[in-house]
Amino acid sequence: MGSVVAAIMTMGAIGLFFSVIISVAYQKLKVEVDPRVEEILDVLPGANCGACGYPGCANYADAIVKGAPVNRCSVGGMEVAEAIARIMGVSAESMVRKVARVRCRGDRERAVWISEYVGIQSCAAAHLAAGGGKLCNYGCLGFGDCERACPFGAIRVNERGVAEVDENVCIGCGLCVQTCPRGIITLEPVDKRVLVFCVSQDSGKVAKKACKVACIGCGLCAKKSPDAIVVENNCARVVDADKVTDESIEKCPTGAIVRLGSRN
Amino acid sequence: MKGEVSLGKEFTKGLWRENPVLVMLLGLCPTLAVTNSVKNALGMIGAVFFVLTCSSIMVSLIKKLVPPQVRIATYIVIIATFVTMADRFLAAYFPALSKALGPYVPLIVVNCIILGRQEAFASRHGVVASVADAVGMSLGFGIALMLLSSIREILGNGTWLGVPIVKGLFTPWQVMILPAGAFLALGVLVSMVRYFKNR
Amino acid sequence: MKESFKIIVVLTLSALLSGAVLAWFNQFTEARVIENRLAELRKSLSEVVPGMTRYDDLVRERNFALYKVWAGDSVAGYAVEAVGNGYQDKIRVLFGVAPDFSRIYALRVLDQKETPGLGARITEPWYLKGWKNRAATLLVLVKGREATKSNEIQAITGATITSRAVVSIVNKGLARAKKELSNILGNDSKGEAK
Repeated sequence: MGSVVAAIMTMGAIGLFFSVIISVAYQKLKVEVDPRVEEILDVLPGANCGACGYPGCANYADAIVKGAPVNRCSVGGMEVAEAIARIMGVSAESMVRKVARVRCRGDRERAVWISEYVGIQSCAAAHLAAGGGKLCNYGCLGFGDCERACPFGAIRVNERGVAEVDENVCIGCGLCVQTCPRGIITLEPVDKRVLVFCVSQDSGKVAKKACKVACIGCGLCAKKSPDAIVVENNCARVVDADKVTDESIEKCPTGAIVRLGSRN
Repeated sequence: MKGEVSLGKEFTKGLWRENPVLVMLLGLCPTLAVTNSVKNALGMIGAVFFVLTCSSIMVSLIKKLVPPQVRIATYIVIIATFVTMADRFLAAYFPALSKALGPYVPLIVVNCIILGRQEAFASRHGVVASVADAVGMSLGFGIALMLLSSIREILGNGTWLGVPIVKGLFTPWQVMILPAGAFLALGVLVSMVRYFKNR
Repeated sequence: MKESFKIIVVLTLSALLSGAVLAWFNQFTEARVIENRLAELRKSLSEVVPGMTRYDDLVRERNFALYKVWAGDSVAGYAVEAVGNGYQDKIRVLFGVAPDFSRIYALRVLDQKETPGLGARITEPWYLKGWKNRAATLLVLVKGREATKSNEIQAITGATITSRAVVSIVNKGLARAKKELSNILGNDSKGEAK
């Protein structure tokens, strides 16, 4: 009987001791938490997959309250984005939607091939093996690592051997961006309609040799639209799509800069 | 988002899609340590099944009473209580098994499958769903341990559950019942699961 | 304040309940656990000293124990539990000695974590047979041949360290047992041995 009392007393004493410590610590170390964080956390799938770019769902919930975009959760998709938007009091539509863009148009005819790669059929492997078969080190390899990474089937390698994004399906989760060993997929606002479809940083001479539609960094476009386009590291970049004039697009000697058709 | 969840789905997810050992890679300490024979694995599976199911029931019952500040402390007390019961039970009725499992039965307290399920599932769902989840997860744990211990015992000792089955076919590879064999077997198993899942 | 109160009540109550449940559960198992331990000891003792009916504890320490084993009304012998370092971890053995300390009856390994297939073979019958009726003097290990003299123990191929460890554990245990016993006999003028 004595041991029974001893067991209960011991456990009770330990429980009392630590619960007092915890409650004191809770009073002293109280952190004001935005109640919205908990609410958002409840909405998020809790898979802690990291596709949003944060280490886990809790971190993402924290970041949303501090102003991060609500539509980063690729697992939850639009449904979750809308739910979070409701909690945050913004509409998911009003957020500028970002989509992935494959910044290469060097397909089979346009790019120069110097060898035939016959190894493991993945971009990551081909990239490691002397950079695959293309002369250009910034060109799409076309083995479809991004296609396999995309949970929504929004990106696929087209019949000309270059990956392409369906902007109506893409939710901008960025998984393909992380997957591409070439780093040629970027997230862009969906309403940015003028883009340079080449990220080659090779000098003009080398880039021109490697691909017919490479940006050779000549700067003709930037001269025509000085506020809208900048040239860095032998490559032009559109900073303000609205100010790009048609003239600068026409001036491009290789056709690397493209105005996309209006969204449907 | 939560909505109604089907019990069947909660049950089967632990078996394959979210298998605690082979997919989520939780609870690897007992997985590696006690799978040198099928018998030990069975003892561990039984103990984990008991602890996980009972803890899930308790936690889902009291989830509304526990303030968030002492949630983990309370869960650990509950889990530790059931683990001690399992440990005493084995010591009393299966002394040989209890000796073979050694410290790994008390160590179930810190098995992250158990606390993980309480945190992720039982504290947010009702009793019935929690039981389905716990039983599914224990079975998933059991499948992984049975696979691993079968591979290791057959290859490493030429027996299965103590019965000699490969007499003369090959010389048992001692390494498979040593710690190194646990890592080898687990690595191969996990890579195979990933291969089939990703196909 | 209300919240603190709730924290304290919930955690203390669950700890109290846990203690109560475990104390209650322990009542069902404790007796059996002790019984198991005693049964195991009895079984081991009867294996190393023939004809055991009961035993007395003479010395009981963490790493050494000496039991006086009776067969009916006469002393059947002594049993020594000794511990020492093996190749991987401690090895715990139990061996029976004749009442006049002339020979070792038999040896059992109670606990070992040696390499399976090599050192762990010290638990196998053919090895333990090599310990039957050895002289209770300084034992020596022989390698590569059968033991011929009564104080020789054959080593296990590929497990020299383990084999050597067992012999040294027995030698040390034997020496300690003799010392303990002479102390007891010295204190008790009547003497216990026949």
